[in-house]
Amino acid sequence: MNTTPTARGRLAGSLMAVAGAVITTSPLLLAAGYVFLLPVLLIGAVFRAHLRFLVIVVLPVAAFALVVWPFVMGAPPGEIAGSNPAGAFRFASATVLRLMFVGGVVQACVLAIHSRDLATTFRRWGLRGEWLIAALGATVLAPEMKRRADRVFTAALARGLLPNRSIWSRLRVLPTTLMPLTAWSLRAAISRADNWHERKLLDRVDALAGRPDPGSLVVSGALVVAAIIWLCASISLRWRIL
Amino acid sequence: MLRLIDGPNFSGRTTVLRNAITAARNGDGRSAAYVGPEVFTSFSGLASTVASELDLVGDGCVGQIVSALGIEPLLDRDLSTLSGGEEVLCAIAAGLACQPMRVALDCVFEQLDHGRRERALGALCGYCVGEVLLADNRSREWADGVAAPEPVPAHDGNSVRFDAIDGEAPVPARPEHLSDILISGLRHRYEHGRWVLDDLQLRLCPGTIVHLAGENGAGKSTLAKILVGALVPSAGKVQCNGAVDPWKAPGRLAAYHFQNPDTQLFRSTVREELLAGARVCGRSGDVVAELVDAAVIAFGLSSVLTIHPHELPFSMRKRVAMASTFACGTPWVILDEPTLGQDDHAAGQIATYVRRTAEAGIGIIIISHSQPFVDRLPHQRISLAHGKTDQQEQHAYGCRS
Repeated sequence: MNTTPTARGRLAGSLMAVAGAVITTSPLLLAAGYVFLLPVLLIGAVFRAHLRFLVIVVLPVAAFALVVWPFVMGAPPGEIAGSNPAGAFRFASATVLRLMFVGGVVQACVLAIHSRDLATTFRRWGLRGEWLIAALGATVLAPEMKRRADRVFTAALARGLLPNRSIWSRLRVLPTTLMPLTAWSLRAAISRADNWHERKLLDRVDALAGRPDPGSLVVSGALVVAAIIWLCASISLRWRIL
Repeated sequence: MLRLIDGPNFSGRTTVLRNAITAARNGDGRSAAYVGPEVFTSFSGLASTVASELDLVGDGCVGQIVSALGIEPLLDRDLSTLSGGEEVLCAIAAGLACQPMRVALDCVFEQLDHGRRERALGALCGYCVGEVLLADNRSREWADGVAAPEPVPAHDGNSVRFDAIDGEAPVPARPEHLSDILISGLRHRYEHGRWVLDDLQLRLCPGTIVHLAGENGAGKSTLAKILVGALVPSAGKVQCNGAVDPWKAPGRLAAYHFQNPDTQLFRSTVREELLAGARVCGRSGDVVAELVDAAVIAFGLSSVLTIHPHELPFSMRKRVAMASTFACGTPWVILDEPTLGQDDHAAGQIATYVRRTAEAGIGIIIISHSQPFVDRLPHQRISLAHGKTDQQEQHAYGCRS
């Protein structure tokens, strides 16, 4: 069964989900939205990445917000300090839940795209030419730099310049290892610019929009409907329309 | 049509290839593809896996090119985890996939084993709609009957004059500690990958030249990285001089010359680069000077000592990296594709120097797909396949004491 949404369905659903999260101030609604998001993250095979995000980003922010707002400030923003600890707790928990939800939506939207479909998906989102190249380059830049740095550290180890692979050892030789890393990256950038020109890569990526979208319309429809419901609930709770 | 561009280092082969690519691109508006010795830069940099790279640049017939090159098992691999030879095949596939009018390959065939070279030639002849230009230092070893080489006039545009390699130069001082390397039960696999090394048993004797052979991706470079201490294996032991496991003191047992020199050049001048390795083991100033002087003379670096290593052309960067490896003065030296980018004369001189270094008592491990280069050396061949050697027991126990 094809569980991949179409490129436009993915984008529309994600934008509405993020808009809803920005609009709502209810921790309960954000928690409900997050519970709905969890199976989407599991199906998209990005749950591990999301767990990493929770540990590295959300946990420190949550620890800070849930201590500072209710116990130090004692009131949400705009109110007199110490006047409303319960409101401060609600504000802090809504902020943390919003961060979890928006982070999860972005991960489900971008990280769940198969690397083979990345270029066509971005193209269908309306990116073209140099913008498309920049977006594609951004997705591979971090992992490529990480691997290049790893090769340089391996070479530094082989030369005896590093005693081991610990973070402390790497930090100590960082100035030395930055040189090959920078030289290598610059040389690669110049060669790649030539290659793109020679292989007419800009024309090729622009032509990707003509390819058929392998995504499922049913899955896209379900995602968009869910996102519309979520957005409507956020608007109605915020401005008490219903 | 296949054309071989023939000439020694610094004769202008790369310039000829680059000009041909520019002419093809400007001529009829069709695409052209250049694959140089820094193979990784031939990829677009916009895709993470082999399949997504081919999908991005390919017009059509990608599947046929993939099967002609035999790279189906590599399709889901991350581009940055490919071995040297695998990288070359995937770069050729990406070049052919954009249906270029002209393909130029600059010193990349040297990294391929015999079978893969044949496949690559077949794919190039079958799927390039125009002309294939091939500059290769080892072409005389395999190109008989494929195409007649076209000589390239000597290029006079180099602002720096480079000295030749001198195989008869003084060899480094013999290190104090020399002992067999005993490898037992060595296993290694990368994250989510197959076993690259699987229960490997080996005994390597000092003062010998060991040719580590095997197909691309057989685990040769992985074994080298473990021996040098840059990689901790999943299981197993490496013993030498009574000390266990080189990864506990990296760079002391062996010095490693990487296939790609750019990763191992850390300093801002060639002289600093050579001194850095020699100083690591805490040697006295006289010994350091002796090691560096020997490396400078042997690899013809006296005219470039004050130059930034990254400003030099590829073949010279390879030489600097090799010189800094020998200057470390370790009991073992591992050379990964030492003749890459070096013309016949330079390769011959490297062979002479390696032979004399081994005669001085230093153990040499060579990873090379150039059989004539290896045949110039008195060597013990160890062939790796499926993570094991072909004659495990013989290698483990047949070493002279």
